[in-house]
Amino acid sequence: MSELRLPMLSARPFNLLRSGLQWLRRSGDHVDAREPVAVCHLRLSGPRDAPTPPLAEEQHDLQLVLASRTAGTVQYQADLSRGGYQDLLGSTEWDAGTTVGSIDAPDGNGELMSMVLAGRRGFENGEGRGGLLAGWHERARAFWEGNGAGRFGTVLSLGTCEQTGVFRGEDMAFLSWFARAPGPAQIVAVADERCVHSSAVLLQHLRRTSAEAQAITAAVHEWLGERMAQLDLHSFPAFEPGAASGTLAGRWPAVQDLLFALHLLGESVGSCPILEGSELLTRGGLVQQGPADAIALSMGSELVPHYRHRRTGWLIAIHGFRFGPYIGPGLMEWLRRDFEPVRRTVANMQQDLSALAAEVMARTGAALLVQNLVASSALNRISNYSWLGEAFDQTLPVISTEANLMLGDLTRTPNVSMIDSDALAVALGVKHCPDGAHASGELLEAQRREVHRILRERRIPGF
Amino acid sequence: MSAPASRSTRALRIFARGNVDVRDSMLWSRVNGVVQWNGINEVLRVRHPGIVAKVKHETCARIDLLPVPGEILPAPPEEIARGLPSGAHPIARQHQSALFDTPVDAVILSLQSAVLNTLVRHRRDGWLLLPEQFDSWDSASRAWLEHECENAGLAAIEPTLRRLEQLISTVHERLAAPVLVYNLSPIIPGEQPHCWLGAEDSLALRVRRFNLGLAELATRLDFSIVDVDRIVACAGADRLKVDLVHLTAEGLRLVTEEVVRILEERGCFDALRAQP
Repeated sequence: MSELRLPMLSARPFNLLRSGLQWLRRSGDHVDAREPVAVCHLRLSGPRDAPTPPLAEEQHDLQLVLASRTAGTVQYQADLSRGGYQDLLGSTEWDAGTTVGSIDAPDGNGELMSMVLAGRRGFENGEGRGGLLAGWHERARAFWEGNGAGRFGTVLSLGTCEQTGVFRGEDMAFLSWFARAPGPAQIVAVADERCVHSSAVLLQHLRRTSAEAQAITAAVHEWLGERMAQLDLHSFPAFEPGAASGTLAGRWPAVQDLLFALHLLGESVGSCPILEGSELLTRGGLVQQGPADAIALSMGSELVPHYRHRRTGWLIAIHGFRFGPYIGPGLMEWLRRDFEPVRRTVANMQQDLSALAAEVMARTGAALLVQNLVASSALNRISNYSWLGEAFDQTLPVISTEANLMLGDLTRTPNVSMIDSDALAVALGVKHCPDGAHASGELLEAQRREVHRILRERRIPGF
Repeated sequence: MSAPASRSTRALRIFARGNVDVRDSMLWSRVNGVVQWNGINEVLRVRHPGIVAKVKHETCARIDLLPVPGEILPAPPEEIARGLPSGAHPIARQHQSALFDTPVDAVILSLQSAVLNTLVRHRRDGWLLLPEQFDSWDSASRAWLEHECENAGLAAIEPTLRRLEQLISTVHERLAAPVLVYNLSPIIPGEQPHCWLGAEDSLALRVRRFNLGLAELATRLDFSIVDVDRIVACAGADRLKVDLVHLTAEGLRLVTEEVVRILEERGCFDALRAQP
């Protein structure tokens, strides 16, 4: 039997506070090694006149996951969980060494392993507390020292939704990586809900100047002004005649387009995720971490509709399915008037990916891991193509296959690897990915293993 | 040749030129003496009782060695063909075919030989040859080949597809029979490269290029693709594949069922039943 104790963790010279513990497994449960058993919220505080504390942008969604180093049956100290907001807000000094329970494993080292989860809110006021990394985050990350030594290795995921499954996992909290990568390691996932991170968009962001950022901001500001000026008495359905006795009209519709445009702007003129560093809490104190060592991208991002702002050249890529009755109508009108659609061929994609690989190599030295498209499909049961004629070249299976072949060629570049999702889906059967993007748990696990293998072969520290 | 037809049955005449993919699915697959799959007639017995497929099969050294009528491809002299070892690809038959000799109801070809087979070229006379299982040849034959021939490499995609186009067009003109071409599944169990820095194409990449080229050809020419790639993708390579070219019994059944489905779509069985 070993005592399970809170690990060493420091934010020196700032104070580190924690909330009560929320148990993720019940007392008496059997747990695997590195399987999370508890979580608490963290907060950093300093004197009033101190500069902005570290991790300031992630202060409200900073959590610590605790796991046993060995497998066994766990028993907890009931009084460590306080319930209610006491388990959501950091208010007690970090107390390394405190016994939280025990495990029936004959391991002498009962110090719990820890993984920090940090979410940077898309909108600072956008509160969404609850489970692990709950809420709307434009950047979410997890880092853990684990058993390893040396510097942290960082992997940045900039792909579309299929990579949310691979990196954040079904728990959305990176737990499957905590279990497999020894550490010290960090995974960062940046959302694609507003702008999709295609190679063309990233390349432009990497090269953006402050003058260009200012011009883009002015263009958005101008459109927002115009859009607000178009509002009239009928733009507020909540106040229409009859609404006083109850309305189904919901929110103020026009504001959704405006908010979308503002967030799109915020991401475009904010820091480029490829260059962005981060701060890490460790046993020995705060550590400044540089840009990512490896960047995961999706070929799927390349196929998303792209638009270029006519006056400023600002390039954006947006998933069409994000638009609906609330977000969309006004924005579409703006896209039609002030932007031009950019048709990208496979050759354009190759050019942009190639340039991005070279630029990233020169700026940070990071490797690009590009997830190919699941081009194999159960849907296209065609044995005779002669009726398709010239339309054949424009069909999605053909474009996907050509894009995958292009990516295969591109891996002859030193810092580019391909995550062959197509082959993994075919190995298991494409019913594991019927729409080509959203994989089953089994396929996601196969993709995760493959990403892990590539990271290890590329000797990314901590993986 | 398979399944002799009795008086009460009607025979579907199929000419098939291909290697293990075509042979295993259309005729039989045997592993350690045990029959795993017994060919197209297993499917016809259930779906088209009274019809039996008579499959004339030739192995294929490579698709560019299959001559069209009137064409004589440069080939090794007879004494050389007789003297060198050969197995499933008899050297004397590599440059010949009975494809255009008799009428048939359907022709089956495959990309496999074009994707996989490396030929040698005679240094002086220029003929091509598939030295099958070269490693097991006797030392005298190996020495002769190394002295007389040079590596001609794998087939390039564009010339292969042009040759295939010519063959299919000739089949249409001479035999008026539908042509089915097997593509390949690119998955190689156990192989998962992520970086080709300094490397030639992997086989998987080469298969994908050929498959895409074949589909592009099919937009210009009326023939059918037996989409082995899709069949494997649907059920899963882990379940259907043994290695790059060998399928499990279930895989062979699914491929053969697809062949029968295409023959149905092409009206082959209706035409047969309509015959007096």
